[in-house]
Amino acid sequence: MTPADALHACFAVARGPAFQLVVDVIIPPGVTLLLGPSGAGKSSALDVIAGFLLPTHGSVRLGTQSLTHIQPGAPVHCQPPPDRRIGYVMQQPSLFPHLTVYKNLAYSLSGQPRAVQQAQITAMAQLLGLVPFLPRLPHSLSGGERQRVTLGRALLQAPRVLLLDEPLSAVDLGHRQELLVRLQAVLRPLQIPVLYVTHSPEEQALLAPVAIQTLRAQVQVDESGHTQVTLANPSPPPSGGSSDF
Amino acid sequence: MGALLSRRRFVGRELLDAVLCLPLTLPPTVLGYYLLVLLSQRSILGKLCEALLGAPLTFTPSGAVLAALVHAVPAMIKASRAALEDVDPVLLRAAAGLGAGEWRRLWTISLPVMRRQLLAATMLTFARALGDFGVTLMVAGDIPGYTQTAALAIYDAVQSGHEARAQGLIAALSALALAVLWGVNRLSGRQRGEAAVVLR
Repeated sequence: MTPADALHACFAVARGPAFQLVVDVIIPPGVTLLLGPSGAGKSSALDVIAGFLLPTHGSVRLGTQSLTHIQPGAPVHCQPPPDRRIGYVMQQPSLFPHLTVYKNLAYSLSGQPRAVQQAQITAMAQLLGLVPFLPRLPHSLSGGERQRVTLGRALLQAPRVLLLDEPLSAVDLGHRQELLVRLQAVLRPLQIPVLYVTHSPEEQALLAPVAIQTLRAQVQVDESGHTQVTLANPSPPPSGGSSDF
Repeated sequence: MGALLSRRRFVGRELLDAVLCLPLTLPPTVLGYYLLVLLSQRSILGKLCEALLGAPLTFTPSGAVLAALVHAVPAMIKASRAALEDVDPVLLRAAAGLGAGEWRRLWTISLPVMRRQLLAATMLTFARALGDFGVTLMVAGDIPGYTQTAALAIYDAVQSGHEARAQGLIAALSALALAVLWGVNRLSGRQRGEAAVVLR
């Protein structure tokens, strides 16, 4: 496997006149933890990377490939989300309610032969402990089980980047620990940039051994009430090659 | 058409919606008159129809079908637009993130998720088409055994004093209308329990 490309995100998003999010990060392959209080625009940052939100200006690129590029005076470039192959586990439940767990997992594999699909889904189900749930519908699963399916579905598309937006927020406390341990095992061997967003110190502590870097959202409020949230690498990143800023 | 109106932003979208839904608010006779003028042998559309079908469309069974269609389909478009706008955007984003383009999202997510609402809308549309009187009368006339619909036959029977015949037709149409409403209520009532959406 060739080493995966690092994700370079350098953009600004304005949400209303009094809120600005400034992102300037390099996410190398491996797990990056992204910490910050709720409402700090972490989800907006992920939406820009996934292509669901256009930044005010700036760019997102994966290695040398430009995903989003918006500069004054230049034509807007934004690769549509279906073409990006970015795995995105959103905060809200997003399993397709009318499809079984198996078919949810198969959704991104539609072009492949049935036997290949089956082999991949079985392997993923074993990895995430989902085998008994395959014929079931999402509404009959617990919060933790659903999130495991969502994670499996995102991983099966062989993503080039994995975004996890507070993946455990819908999971009851009793099951969080167990799921976190499983997550550690699944995320550790991934050779792609993984951005794990959380505001929970507990998740941070458990994932810290897996993480290669931790980014903290810096929130600044000036005297006129303008909020600026900055997300940046604390020091020159340990890997990721030449920096262009 | 509902999908187009619900998903795409384009210039004149609301105007198109308004024009398509005009039949909902126009008196049926006015709608019928417009259709008659539009399909008359002097109009371009009428000439085109005549060239394609070999005969004018007005005052034929096909004309009656067209009249019922024009009368009923706007309700279907309205209902499907509303249903498709109701699809949870998170599901559509998830599908897009998994590589599904717009068509695949429509066929694999929006339509199946909303199938009960769409089926209910189809049944109501059918009932509305069945009950059309004014548009059919204007466009296709009331020719017994040729373009006469059930609704027109009831009018004729009452006017000519054939009470028994009218009552039979009325009973049949009422039963059908009740059955449709029962079906629609069952479909939309089930929707409330999440389990019922997916269990079939």
